[in-house]
Amino acid sequence: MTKLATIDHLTQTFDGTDVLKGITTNINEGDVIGVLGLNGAGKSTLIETLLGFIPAQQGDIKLFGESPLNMSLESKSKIGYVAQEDELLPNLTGHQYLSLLSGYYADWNKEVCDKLINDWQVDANKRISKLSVGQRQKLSIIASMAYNPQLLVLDEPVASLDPVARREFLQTIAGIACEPTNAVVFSTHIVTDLERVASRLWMIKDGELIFDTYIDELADQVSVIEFDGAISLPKLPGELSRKHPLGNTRICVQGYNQSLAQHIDANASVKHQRIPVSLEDLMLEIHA
Amino acid sequence: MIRFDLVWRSMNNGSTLSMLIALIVIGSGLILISIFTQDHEQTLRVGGTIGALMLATHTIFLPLTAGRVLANPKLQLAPQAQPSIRLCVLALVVLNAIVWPVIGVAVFKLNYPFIVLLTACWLSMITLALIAVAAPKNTFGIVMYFSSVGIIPSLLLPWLLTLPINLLVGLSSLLLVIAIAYCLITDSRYSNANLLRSRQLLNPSSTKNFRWVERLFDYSPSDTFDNDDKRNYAMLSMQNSGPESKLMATMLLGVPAAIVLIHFIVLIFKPEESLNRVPLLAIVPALCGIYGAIIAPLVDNARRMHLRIDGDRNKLFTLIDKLVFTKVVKWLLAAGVMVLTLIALLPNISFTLLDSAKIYATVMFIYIAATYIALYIFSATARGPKRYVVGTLLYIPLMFGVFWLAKIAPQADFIVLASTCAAATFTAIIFRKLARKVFANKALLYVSPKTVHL
Repeated sequence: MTKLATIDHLTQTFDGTDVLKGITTNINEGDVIGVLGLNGAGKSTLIETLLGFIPAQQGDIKLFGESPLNMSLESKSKIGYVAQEDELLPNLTGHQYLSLLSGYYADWNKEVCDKLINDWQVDANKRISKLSVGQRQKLSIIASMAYNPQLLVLDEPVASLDPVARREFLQTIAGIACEPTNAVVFSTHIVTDLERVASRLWMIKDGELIFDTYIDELADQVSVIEFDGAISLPKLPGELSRKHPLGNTRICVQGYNQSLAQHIDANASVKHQRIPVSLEDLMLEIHA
Repeated sequence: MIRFDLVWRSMNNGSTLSMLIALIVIGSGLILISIFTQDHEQTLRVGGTIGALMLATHTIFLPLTAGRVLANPKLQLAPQAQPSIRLCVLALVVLNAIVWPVIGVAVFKLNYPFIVLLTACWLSMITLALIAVAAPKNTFGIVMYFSSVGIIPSLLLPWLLTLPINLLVGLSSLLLVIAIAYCLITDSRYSNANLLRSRQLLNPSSTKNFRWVERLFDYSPSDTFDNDDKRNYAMLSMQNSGPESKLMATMLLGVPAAIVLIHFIVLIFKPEESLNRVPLLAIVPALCGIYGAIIAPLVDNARRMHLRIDGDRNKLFTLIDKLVFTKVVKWLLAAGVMVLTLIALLPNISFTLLDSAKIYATVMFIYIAATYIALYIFSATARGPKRYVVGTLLYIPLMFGVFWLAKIAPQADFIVLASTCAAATFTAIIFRKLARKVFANKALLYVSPKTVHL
């Protein structure tokens, strides 16, 4: 698998707060990476640093083998981006905006544009400033996909879309992901959307990349161990969280295996039960 | 093929429209004045001066919007987009370099003060061009914005001081009218709608209170949003509101503050001038100043920080929302300012009812006190207004420097004047940069976790 991007020990500090803490990961061809985390976790900062909008304070980033702060035109033309904030130009109409962008891309596909405008019912003859938030978001997504970028980065792309548009958008993303040389990175709060299309998960908590795993490996990697009653047990290796709902004990652990099971049985007074976790469960276990 | 026409249009953020509207309104007024007074020469001079000032205002806004287009993330990633935008900025500079002399020859017959003005504007434009070419992408918009807003009015001063004080005050007020018209056209609907959305989405119980305001903004909240959507949307709305609120606050606060200073200094330097019309005219910047000093920071403050506000202070914000977040109030204010200004410009009308100098000084004192008290109060609760305090404070020494320049202008060597103007320009930029360093103001580009707590 070819790496489209590598992030090596990336740290960002703003106003004395560590917004990103030593993140190391990569983006491979064929990845559809869902970036999950609460507000303020560092998702947008990670994406903006990855694309070179904010210089990395520590660590190294390579995007198509180049520094994102000084990318060649060829590399730039391989990247599609939908910003969390509205990056459209409000004085132009939708068609004008797309026409402006089309001048910068050799591979601009007007047919794809027109099809998406039609399918998503975007009124591209209206001035962008007059469009609703959802319409603007759709236009922004269309503008990012019209030149078939190899790496599509979307920062909270579905936040302003209605459920129908959200489903259509996810189908489109799935279509892009079918291309084995492409990759998609999108941040979201909506776990179900991520489960629907993502092949890989980046979970960020307080600036740390606490999970970087393929979704289908998640069930093997993370488990919830449940005990009847409140038990006293020393902190387990790979323990992510511990809770006591309804007087019982739930421990979320990473890397459950035979030796850990034996370790638990040796130390706990009652038998444990291993419960596989869904992505939503994992999100709640860690953040709630 | 790169669409330069669309690049240009994207940079032209409604200022042309507002300028044209203002030109039509003011031009009509001047024609009427000319007909009634039969003083065509004076009317021509006033008209030409207004036209020149409006162009100056236009040149403030175009680099500003150009900076924002250049900082646009989509266009930062688009191949060749940056050079094309920079080319348009340079075209703007060249255009201005041509337009100014034409006005100079046509209206002022290129006399000595106008050469000073022209040189100063050229220097300012060249500086902007250098910034356009050389500045790092993320700082471009910010630097260009503050340098252009702060410097051009300063550079007009040597020439302004040669004008009769009535005309000077009238023109200052007109400049404000244009600035306010611009803000009203481009800012109010957008920013207010954003604030309302954020507020309603996060606190549905407040929706009821704002139903009547919603209708003014053609806004209906989404029923389909879940809590995550709402939080996310609120954050998005606040991020989007940054540049607009900054523009509004600076135009409504910085420009009146500068004009008040002009008035003070002119009074010091030219006490012999008639002050008959000053009281009425003083109301104009005072109204704008009060609006700019109290309301704009509040709006900005509320927009950024309302999530952290509770209790009694929230009631205050709600009250202010109700008072000022209507188109009606803003348009009434703008219309009132426009009418007052036009009346004040009418020759041969004397306002002797008021003790002019005392009232003028009192109004100005109240204005300045209100400005700084409001700013200091709210700088304690928000990051935003702190920046305006710093900006305004930095502006004062610069203004005094330019006034000193104006005072020595008749005796000074032309090269000295030109180089001093250039030095003032760069000094302002450096001061702004220093201020940004000191206050770590990165809020234009992102909302850090420390800034917003949801």
